[in-house]
Amino acid sequence: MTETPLTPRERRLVVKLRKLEALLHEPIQTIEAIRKGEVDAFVVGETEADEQVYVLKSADRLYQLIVESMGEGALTVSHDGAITYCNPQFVRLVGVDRSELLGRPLREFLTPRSRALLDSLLTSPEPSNRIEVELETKGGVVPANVISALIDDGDGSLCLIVHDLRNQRAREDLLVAKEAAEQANRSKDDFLAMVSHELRSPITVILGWTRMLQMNRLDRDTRKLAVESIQQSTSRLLKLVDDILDVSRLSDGRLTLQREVLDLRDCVRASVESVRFDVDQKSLHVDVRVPDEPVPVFGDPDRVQQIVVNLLVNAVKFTPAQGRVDVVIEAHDRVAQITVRDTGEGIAPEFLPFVFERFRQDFSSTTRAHRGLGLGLAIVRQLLEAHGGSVSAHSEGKGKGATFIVTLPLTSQQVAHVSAHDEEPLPSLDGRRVLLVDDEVDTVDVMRTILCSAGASVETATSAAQALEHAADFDPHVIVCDIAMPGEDGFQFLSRLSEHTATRTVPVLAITGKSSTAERDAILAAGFQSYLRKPIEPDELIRAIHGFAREE
Amino acid sequence: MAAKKTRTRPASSKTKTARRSGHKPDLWNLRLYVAGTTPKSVAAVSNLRRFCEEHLAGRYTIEVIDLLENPKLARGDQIVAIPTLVRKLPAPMRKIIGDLSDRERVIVGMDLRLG
Repeated sequence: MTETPLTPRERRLVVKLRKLEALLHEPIQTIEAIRKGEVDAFVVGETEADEQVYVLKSADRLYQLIVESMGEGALTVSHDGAITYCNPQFVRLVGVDRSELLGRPLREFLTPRSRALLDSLLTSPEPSNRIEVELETKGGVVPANVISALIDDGDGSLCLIVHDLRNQRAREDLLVAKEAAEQANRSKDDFLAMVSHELRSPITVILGWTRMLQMNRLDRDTRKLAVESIQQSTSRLLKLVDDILDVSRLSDGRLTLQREVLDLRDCVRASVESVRFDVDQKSLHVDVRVPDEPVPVFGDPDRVQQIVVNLLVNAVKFTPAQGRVDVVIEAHDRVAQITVRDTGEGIAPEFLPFVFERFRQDFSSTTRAHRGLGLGLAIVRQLLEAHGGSVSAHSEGKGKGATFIVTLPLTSQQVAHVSAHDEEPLPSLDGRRVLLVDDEVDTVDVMRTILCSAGASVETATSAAQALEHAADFDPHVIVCDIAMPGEDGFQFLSRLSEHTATRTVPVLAITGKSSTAERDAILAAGFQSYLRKPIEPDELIRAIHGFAREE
Repeated sequence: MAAKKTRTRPASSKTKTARRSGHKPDLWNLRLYVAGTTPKSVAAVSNLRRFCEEHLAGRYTIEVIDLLENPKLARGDQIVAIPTLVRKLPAPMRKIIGDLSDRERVIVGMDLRLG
């Protein structure tokens, strides 16, 4: 290829062109890069002073995507707390359209309690912060963690990440509930094991002695001992069942008190009498000091006596032989106070706060040297609370005895006449005809023996139908009828009985194994004259029959 | 220029000193201008790193300058579009505008003689 040499003018032009090309190289490259989308920010500004970087909107797209799709609520607020941006998750959380959220103060979506927290966050913004708030959402109050970051644009706006705490709370609640359930289950297992043990020991005694009695090889004295022992074990069993029922009733508030004005002195004397046997067995000295004047309180006599008995039983249980128990009643201004002090084992200081809790016994030192379910004192406290009273326990420590102080409000009312029928000799039932109805032959046998011993003539029936026949022939003065019988029960029997003129006026006593007041009300409403609760006390049965036969 | 605010990038000071003391003629001194963490800035940094490791291993230093932190630093190299790579050494100075995703263009732009 031949080249014509360039003229000097042409050469100058070429150099000029090359320079121009070099100058244009950068703008051309820039335009190319922009076209290909390889740049996303520019330096703008006319002078060095106002130069700044302009970032293309699309450059934030990646972050926008992350923020818009993340599972946490995210928003920005201006220095005065107005929402300037929020992501879909925050919209979902609050349950209000985004268009309605933007521009609104964030505090409107917080509970009043949380607003102060937000305010302090806005007034003294720190680079980053974390607060726990409650969101007021369409679906109710939502607890949330809010992490804030100050946006460095100089006007104090904040970026907030909102973390819904509901799942976490639910998990925590579940964990607590699980823990409680497990604890309850453990307590229940311990309790059942203890109940089983407590039931088995008296039953063993009863079974053992009964077998011996059956063999009929015991001498007179041993027989007496056997019978006493059986009696004691039976009352122990009964006490256990009563205690368990009481605790259950007290804890769900089903216990109803039959309150009347009573003299606390009588209650205490009767209570001391009822523990006499155990006191004598351990050769304890019991000293009772009561005021000369009556100490009137408004309470359920049985329950007040139960309070004192439980405290006495406790004192007797933990006091060694030849020990001493003091019972003192004092009447202060408006409060009656019973103090039961013993010279027994005392209570370890660390156990003192728990003595009135259910199923608690101090196992630390004695490894259950004492029987019982640990219900007695719990019942005492709950019964006293039901009576508007209180109980406290005091002890100088192990081996130093214990003192229990009971208070009950005094009443200004006079003590009603207390019937002293316990002192009366048992009445005779001579010439009284009694019809016994119970499907359990054993129960019928016992009751017949009791009534016959008092002189009554007795006819028995083991079903309602049989009883109806006898009622016509035998013409009883009183009918004693079990409520729970297979086939026709006591209620049906009573209504059949009243269909016949001959038997309509015969008083009928109900016998029930249930102890609820609802059952009692149902019995009296059905037209039974009265009712007796199992187990039946012989004296009680005789007096009841006598009362109704006498009214004839 | 001396007071430039930089974010340190590889070629630790140790290797840098080694290079200098060796007085090798083809020490590559590169400066990358970015704007915070915009996608193209992030892409440019990683593209440049990969490129240098492949073609200039042991012979380069990279200085990354964030113009969001200090826009005034754009003036010296007359930066308009971001990201932009400037080859300070070997002279003469050369510029590549964009995220350096087009390898051929980078080779040509840097005047890199392969082989």
